[in-house]
Amino acid sequence: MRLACLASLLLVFVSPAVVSAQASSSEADTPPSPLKQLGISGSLRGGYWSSSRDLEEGEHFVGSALWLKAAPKLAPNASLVLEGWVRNQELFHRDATDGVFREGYAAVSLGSLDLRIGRQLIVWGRADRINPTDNLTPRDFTLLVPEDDDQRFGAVAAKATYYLGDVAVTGIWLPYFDPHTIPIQRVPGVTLSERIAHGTLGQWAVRIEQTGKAVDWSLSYFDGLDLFPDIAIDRAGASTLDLVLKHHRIRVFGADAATTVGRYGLRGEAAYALTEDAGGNDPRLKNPFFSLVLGGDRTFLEYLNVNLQYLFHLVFRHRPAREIQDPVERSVAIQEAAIANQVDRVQHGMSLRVSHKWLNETLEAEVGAVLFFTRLDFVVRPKVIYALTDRWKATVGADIFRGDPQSFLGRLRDNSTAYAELRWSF
Amino acid sequence: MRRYVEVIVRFPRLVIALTIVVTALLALQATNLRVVIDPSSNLPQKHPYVVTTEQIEKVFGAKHVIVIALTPKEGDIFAPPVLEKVQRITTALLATPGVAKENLLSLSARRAKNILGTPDGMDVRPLMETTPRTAMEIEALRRALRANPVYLNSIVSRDGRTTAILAEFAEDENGFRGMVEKVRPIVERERDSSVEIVIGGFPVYLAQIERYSQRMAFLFPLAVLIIGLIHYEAFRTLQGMILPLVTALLAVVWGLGIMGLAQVPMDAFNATTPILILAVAAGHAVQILKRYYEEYHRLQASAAHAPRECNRLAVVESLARVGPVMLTAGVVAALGFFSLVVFDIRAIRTFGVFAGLGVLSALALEMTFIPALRSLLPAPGGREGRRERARTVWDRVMETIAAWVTGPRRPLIFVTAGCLAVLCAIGAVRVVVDNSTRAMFFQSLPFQQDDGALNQRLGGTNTFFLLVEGRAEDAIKDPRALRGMDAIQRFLEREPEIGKTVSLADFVKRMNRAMHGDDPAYDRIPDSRELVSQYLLLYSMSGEPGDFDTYVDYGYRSANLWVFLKTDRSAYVQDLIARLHAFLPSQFPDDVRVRVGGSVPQTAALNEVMVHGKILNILQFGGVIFLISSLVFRSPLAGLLVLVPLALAVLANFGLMGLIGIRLDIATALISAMAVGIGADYAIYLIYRLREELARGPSETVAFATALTTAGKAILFVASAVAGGYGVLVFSYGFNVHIRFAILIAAAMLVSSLSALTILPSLIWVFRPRFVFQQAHRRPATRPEVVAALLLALGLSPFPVAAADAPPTAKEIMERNFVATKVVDSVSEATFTLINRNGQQRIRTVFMTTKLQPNGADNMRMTRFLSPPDIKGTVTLLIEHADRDDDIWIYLPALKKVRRLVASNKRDSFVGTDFSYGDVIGHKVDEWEHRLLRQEVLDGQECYVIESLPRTETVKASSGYSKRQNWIRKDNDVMVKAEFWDQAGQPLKTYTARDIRLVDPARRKWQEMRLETSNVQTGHRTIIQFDKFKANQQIKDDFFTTRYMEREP
Repeated sequence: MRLACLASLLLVFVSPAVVSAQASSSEADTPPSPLKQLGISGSLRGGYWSSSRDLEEGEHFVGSALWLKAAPKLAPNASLVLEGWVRNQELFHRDATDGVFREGYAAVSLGSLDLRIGRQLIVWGRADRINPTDNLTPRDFTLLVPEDDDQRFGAVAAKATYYLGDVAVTGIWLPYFDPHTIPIQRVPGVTLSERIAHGTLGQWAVRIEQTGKAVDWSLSYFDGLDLFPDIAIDRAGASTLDLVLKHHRIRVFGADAATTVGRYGLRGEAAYALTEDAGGNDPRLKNPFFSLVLGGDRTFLEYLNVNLQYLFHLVFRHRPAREIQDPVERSVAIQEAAIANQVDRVQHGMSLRVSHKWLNETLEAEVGAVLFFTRLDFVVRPKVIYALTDRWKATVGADIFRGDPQSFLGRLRDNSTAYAELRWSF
Repeated sequence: MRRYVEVIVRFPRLVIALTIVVTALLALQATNLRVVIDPSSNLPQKHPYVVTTEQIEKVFGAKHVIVIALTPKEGDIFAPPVLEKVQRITTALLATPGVAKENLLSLSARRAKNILGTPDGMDVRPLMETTPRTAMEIEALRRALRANPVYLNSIVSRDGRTTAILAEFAEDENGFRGMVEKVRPIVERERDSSVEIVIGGFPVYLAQIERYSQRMAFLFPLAVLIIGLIHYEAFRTLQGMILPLVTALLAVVWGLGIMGLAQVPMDAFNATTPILILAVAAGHAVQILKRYYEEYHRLQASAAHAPRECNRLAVVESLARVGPVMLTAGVVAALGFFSLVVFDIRAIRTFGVFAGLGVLSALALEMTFIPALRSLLPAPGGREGRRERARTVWDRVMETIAAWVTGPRRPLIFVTAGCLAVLCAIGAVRVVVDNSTRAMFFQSLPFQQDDGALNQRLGGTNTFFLLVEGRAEDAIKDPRALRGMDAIQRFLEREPEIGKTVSLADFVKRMNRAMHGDDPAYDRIPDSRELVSQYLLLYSMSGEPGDFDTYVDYGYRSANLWVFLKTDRSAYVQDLIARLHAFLPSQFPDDVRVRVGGSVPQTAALNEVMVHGKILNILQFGGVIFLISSLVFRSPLAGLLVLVPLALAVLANFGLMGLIGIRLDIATALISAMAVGIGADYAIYLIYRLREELARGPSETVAFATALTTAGKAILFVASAVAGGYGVLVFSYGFNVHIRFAILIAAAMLVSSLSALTILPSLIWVFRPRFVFQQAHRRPATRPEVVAALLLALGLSPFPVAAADAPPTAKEIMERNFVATKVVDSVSEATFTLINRNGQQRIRTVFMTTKLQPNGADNMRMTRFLSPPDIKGTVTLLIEHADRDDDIWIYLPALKKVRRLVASNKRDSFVGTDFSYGDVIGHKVDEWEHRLLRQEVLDGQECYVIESLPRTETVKASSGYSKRQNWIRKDNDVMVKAEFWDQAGQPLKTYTARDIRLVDPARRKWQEMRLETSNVQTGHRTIIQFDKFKANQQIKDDFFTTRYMEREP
């Protein structure tokens, strides 16, 4: 089964070669190599992780992965992008092998119009790593990879962008729904299932954006299913409890902006999310919320980059979960609030990222941290990357979560991990 | 002073070793520091309210009372499950160490008695001996409570929906959190969906103060980081960032160590004082370091000494010149802080001692350790020096201020300051003096909500006592005294903020009524002392000896009247006490005295002392500063001038508090003293520098400009760093004390620094005091002199200005060279090979497009990385701007989005290669002085050899080169070789170009197909090989937009 997955992935990468070769041969001065023609690249990765990221009790994972990407050019104004991976998170365990087809889309440019159809990553937001407007395509937060962005995978979508000079208007339609995979604590006697809506979901988004002037900015609106689940009780028996994860509709109004002032880069991003529980009456659903990220960065000494951001999260019509009388409902509502970052009505926080490069950019170190002031929950993420050669790269790092167990970051304490990865890219 | 410093730099290692030993010893002493968490020790001990409170606590207990309230979700408390919970909590509390068992009060406590009249006398039984279970037993309890209204609103709410347990705690070795933590598990065991349980009382708040004060554990390092970053922004050197922080951190350790040694205790209110010491110490360090750099650059420019000798001399010179000023300013501040020891409030005394010691420690370190260390460190390299002297926004601000102070716009400074002073004065008169522990926290916090609920349902969680004292034993049994107490209770219970009062009179009235068949007509104090005595005797027969311990003393000479309030605002209580004093005289016989005490009156006492003390504090501090400044400068006018910025800072502090509604309380009271302590330095440093420059300089205008752009600039750094350091406290969510500190200190720093930089020099300019203008009339400076002075002050070496004009032919050659390779547009593929000193290679291939902008000088460049695999797909877009910073965007394929970047410096590496951005973009011809050195043949081609020197320090700093030597081919004007020298004048890089091709014959444009740059200092080199290059491809402007960055190539 797993072998079949790998084979199909490779087949997908090889098949466009024929199309591509025909399309691009005429424009080149000299015939490009088949590999270059296919635009194939990828990496083999081997790594060790001291803990999983799914709040399970597992420790010491030695895994490997193959990542592949092909981007053949079909015509001067058309291209195909295919990307995916197979991995084994626990070496020598057959059932620990899986694969993901991250992206597979065709892109066409027709004058001022760009079209993209297929499974694709759509990433929004100008703030540094914490993006309230980024609600379109999912992430697997449990995936053991050193780079956060590798946790992303695409959603099937049709995206059209029309350019009017510096201004771009984008419309997106998402017919299907793939949710985030998030870490959830498993409790004996409690079953957990996820219910995902199928059929025509009518998810859509629109965005107007300007880049190239003194300030880059955008305004956006998304109407679709929430990538983060809501937890609810499906059935409560005498000694068992069945919980279900459901994804409800949200409408997100977003805005972001970025500019530079002298040696400082300034970024801001805000989103107001209207959930199905507009009145804040149902503890099983998220309440409407507003998120804001404001910050900036500056590079000192050529390579020492310091990025500092203020984080604000406001939950409307907030009712503390601890006020619920039924003890079972209360404990589930507390967990729902912690996952949705809705434990408190107001959250203030900050993120700090300091990075530096040495040895002509071959050695890079970074420390990222996020701290919420209300419950003093935080995560610290040091990481060192060394490029042994152009193709070999070693990464060592750690994620350290601490804080109140019912807080957004504190509940992830068991996900604290140290890791090391060796990567060969081709 | 000079001789002293020379001795220090002669034995630097010894000085450093001694400093390390002293620091280690003091750090050990700091571990002995006693931390006082008892808030009463921070009260004015001689104030009558405090004295009375101490007496009440000694005689009647009632010091730290925690209230636990239970409210069932449905129905009232008269249900067996609720009453069982009360029983269990009471039992558990009685078994808890530290709980005063005899004073514990709840429905099931033995102290809560039902007083009943019987045919045989009086029956006194506990309200709830066992938990009532039947309807009859519950009805009996209801009846008992109705018959004994003394318990209503104290342990049972009027509506019967809430019951409370009042537990008094002794001091706990783990502070107030220790007390609360003892209660919490007992309560948690009983918490379920049927009942809401909240914990309240003053100790809960004090526990929160302890908890929030501990945030300094992470706020202090954050403050250090912010101050460090601001110093870095100011100096642009690592030493500039680190050395002041080293001084400051050591000063904090020394201050704490000396306090430990002298056994001066520390308290929670002083948790933020280390930031103050950090700020003051860093302030002095910045002044010295700034002067050090000035002296070093001056000595280096004279070229008379080797760099190491320059370093040593600069250390001596800077400390010899600034040392006396620093000592003066530091001693002024330290004495100011020490003068606070006369205060009656321990927190303020501790603050004074700690801050003063910290400042003195900083002085000691700056006079010993830092010069020793500085003399051992390598002399500033070219890059470090260039960074430090680079012209920044700070310089532009100071230049503008200097122009205003010495120019025709000076009156505007006075007018603006006057308007702001009037505004602040309006605000200052609106300042409300009010202490409230609850107001220290955000209302939205859970414990605040709990306290609100408690105050709503019961009598109140804040206490206020009236001590009624007679002259002889049994004086309280006098019906007149008891009636007086009853009258006060009725008077107080009319107050909306008072929920309950309890005294012995309540019990005597109940006994009288019970002994008369529960007839309401007898719900009054009996008329005879004998009857009162008999009732109390009857009570003692079935009651317990300790039942009235909290209400009357053993000999019935004094009684304690309990008042429960729903607020802890001291302003309200002050007003209430004033009205009470007017009411009291007519209520008691002459031999009975009534005094006020309790937690809330104590904060009212704090208010009274604060108003008086605040004025005393400021006058005292100001007096010390005036006295010492007058003595140092030998002029009373100098004392007054030094006070001007401080007075304005204090006014702004009060004005802001009044305007934005911040109350004057124990925490905000310290801010003025802090602002004065920090700000005293500013004026002193500036006046000293002005005197020095006036004595030395050619004109007054130049002297003012120089003083402002040197010492003045350092003042601006320091004030920004202090404001930034304290600014981190704004992140202390929920704790108003920290947030107000952040706002007020930042504002005070802004005002004191700006007034020291604008109003003070303007006043000196106008009034021309003799102590500044020691020498007679000087001529006003000419404009070129001012410019020259500003350049000098900014550390710009005069030698480029003095350089001879370059020969025109050399400039023409360079102009031709500048455009020889500027094609209209281009498409190219290139391989970058990066080779380190061991021969290891890294290879990057790129696809590049360029297009010249309409101005013919700036390019648009898009660079797409094709390999290595890990950065494949990364795209950068650079839009050059001659007149401002370039715009740069980057597309990272992993991130899947375009990100705007800050423009790189021209000297920074171009994508990790040995080429700088300036090398790639091209060095602007007009910014350099060019000189034709010779003509020679290189690789068979005739070349001009031209030396190019940066015209200004800014060009030198931004390019990173102090000299370039260029080999320009005569036939095509292309540069085929160049050598570069770094800012310290050391050889840095060599550049060669090969395979030069004509890529645009019509416009005679050329392209070097192979470029190589070697860094002779690191041994690293980079080869750029163009595999393809096409010019004039008619590339559209649209291509240079972020849209194209996201496309697959």
